[in-house]
Amino acid sequence: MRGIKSRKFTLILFFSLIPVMILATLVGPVFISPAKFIESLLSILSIMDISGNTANQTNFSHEKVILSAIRFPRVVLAALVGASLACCGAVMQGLFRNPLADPSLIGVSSGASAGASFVIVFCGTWLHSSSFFGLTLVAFGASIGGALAVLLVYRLSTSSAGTSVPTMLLVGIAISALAGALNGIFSFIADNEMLRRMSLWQMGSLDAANWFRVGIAGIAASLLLITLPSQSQALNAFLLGESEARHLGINTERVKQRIILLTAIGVGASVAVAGMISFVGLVVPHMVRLVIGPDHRYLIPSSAALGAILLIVADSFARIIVAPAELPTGILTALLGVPFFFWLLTKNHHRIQR
Amino acid sequence: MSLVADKLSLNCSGTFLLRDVNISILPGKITTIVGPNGAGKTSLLRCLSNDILPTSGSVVLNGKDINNWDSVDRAKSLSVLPQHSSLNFPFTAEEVVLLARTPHDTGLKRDDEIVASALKIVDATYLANRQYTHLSGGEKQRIHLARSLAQVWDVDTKQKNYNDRFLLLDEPTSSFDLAHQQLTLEIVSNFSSKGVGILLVMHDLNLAAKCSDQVIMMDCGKLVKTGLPKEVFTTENIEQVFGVRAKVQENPENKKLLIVI
Repeated sequence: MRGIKSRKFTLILFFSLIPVMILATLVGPVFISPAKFIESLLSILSIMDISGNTANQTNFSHEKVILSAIRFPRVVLAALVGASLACCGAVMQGLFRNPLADPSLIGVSSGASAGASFVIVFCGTWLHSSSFFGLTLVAFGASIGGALAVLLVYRLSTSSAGTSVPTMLLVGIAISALAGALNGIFSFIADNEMLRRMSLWQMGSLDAANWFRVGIAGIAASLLLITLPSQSQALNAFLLGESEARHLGINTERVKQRIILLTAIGVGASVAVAGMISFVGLVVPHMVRLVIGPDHRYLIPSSAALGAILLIVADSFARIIVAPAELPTGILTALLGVPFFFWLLTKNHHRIQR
Repeated sequence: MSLVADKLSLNCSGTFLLRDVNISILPGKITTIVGPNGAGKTSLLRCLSNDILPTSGSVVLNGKDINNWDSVDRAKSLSVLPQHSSLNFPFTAEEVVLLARTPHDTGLKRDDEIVASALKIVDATYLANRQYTHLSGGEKQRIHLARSLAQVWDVDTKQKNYNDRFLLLDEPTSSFDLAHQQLTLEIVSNFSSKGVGILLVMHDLNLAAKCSDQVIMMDCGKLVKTGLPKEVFTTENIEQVFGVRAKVQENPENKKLLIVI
């Protein structure tokens, strides 16, 4: 039976997440030795324990500051964003009944980024006042942009006969172009400060990680991980086709609305905190499916874990590959993801031709 | 207990795909729809399965309008095998059949038994762990036949009453070899003898004549003839609807009709 194997695979992925996270905190422009790591970790924890006392200034070390202010939030953020994007990719591929659907490929990420730019430009005055309100607003704008894009793609490319791949990709191109044009308009009317914020967003980078961003990504990721598994039976039936799913007693309209809403929130929050990070949502569910098959009961949690691992690894490479400078992570995932996408396209060539 | 279409009409952008169709599918009976391409056979089946809403008229399942059914309860009573399937994800054959148990809550153990039996009767036990996407057309169709059978399988071992179940099969034998065509007829007869009401869409008139209790001949969205196979399959009716001259005889072997084109 495949069930036991799938369960094992999911558990292994979740357990390997911890060593990967620890390793990732050690590497970077400044390498931190395991001994220093444990020492700093203990001192950070002890400060938390006796929070009433004033922070122990003598215990102050470079490593500790790097870990607590930079590496920890960054690695956790990478994990949360990777998990959200991979989950969204997995359920989107299920909803579209098509293994090529990916938030960045079909224009959802660019829709979200246009939404974010819109908020940065037109609500700019509020953004300065408080970081909390500002970032929430940007996340909200990104979610709306993402939701509009998913809705448009779904409406235009899906008929009763299923989703047409060429249409889906073409609609994605059109939406990306539209989002690009909107971004252009927003850049045109933006001032210097806004421009800097916007271009940072579009590159897709995790270097602005802080605990507040971790909070936003954490809320979105936990929302996805709590609600998506309850849709997995329905998504499994969906793979047969929409009318077949209806014959199996699935309320297809409700499932579609939920998935569209949840992926918009997940992608929107990810874009808001980390910008455009493409191809994670395409590659990860594929790799999982190769091992355990398309059963969403295992696919969704496994994709979340593998997505987290992959983005942590990619982000670690982004930090050390051109050290002491940094490559934006989004550029790295695109560089790695594009060859994979070509491979998928040639593999599915005959099917797409039809 | 019955599945009844009452004065169904379906108008799709000006053309009538169905016009004033009345049929009833009864428990334990096999009803077969025959007719040329574009006669409205699949449209009728899709109206009966609540896939499309008729322009006028109604479909009543077990005394209740089909639109008023809870979707899960309806799925327990009504199983549909479409002509084509668009599944292109690497499920195993077994997992595809197991999807049929989605609306039921009979427990994993019972579901696994049902899946195994369903695969066995369609002669696909050896395919159970194979990847669906790698199967041939006929093998895929057998897996989907097993899936639609598994959906109307007994809910629990105590309940042996199948009178409220209906099975709608759209050209179930279209890509089967001779042996599997005969096997399908056997399976269908077997299910109808348990009390399941069955609707078939068929192109092979001899197969239809062999297994049906009631034949419905359609043309241009209308019912032309309804009745026993020997009442419907006459030289005149076949020529009128299909435009082909056929000779209708009695098969000396099994006393069924033999239609020679």
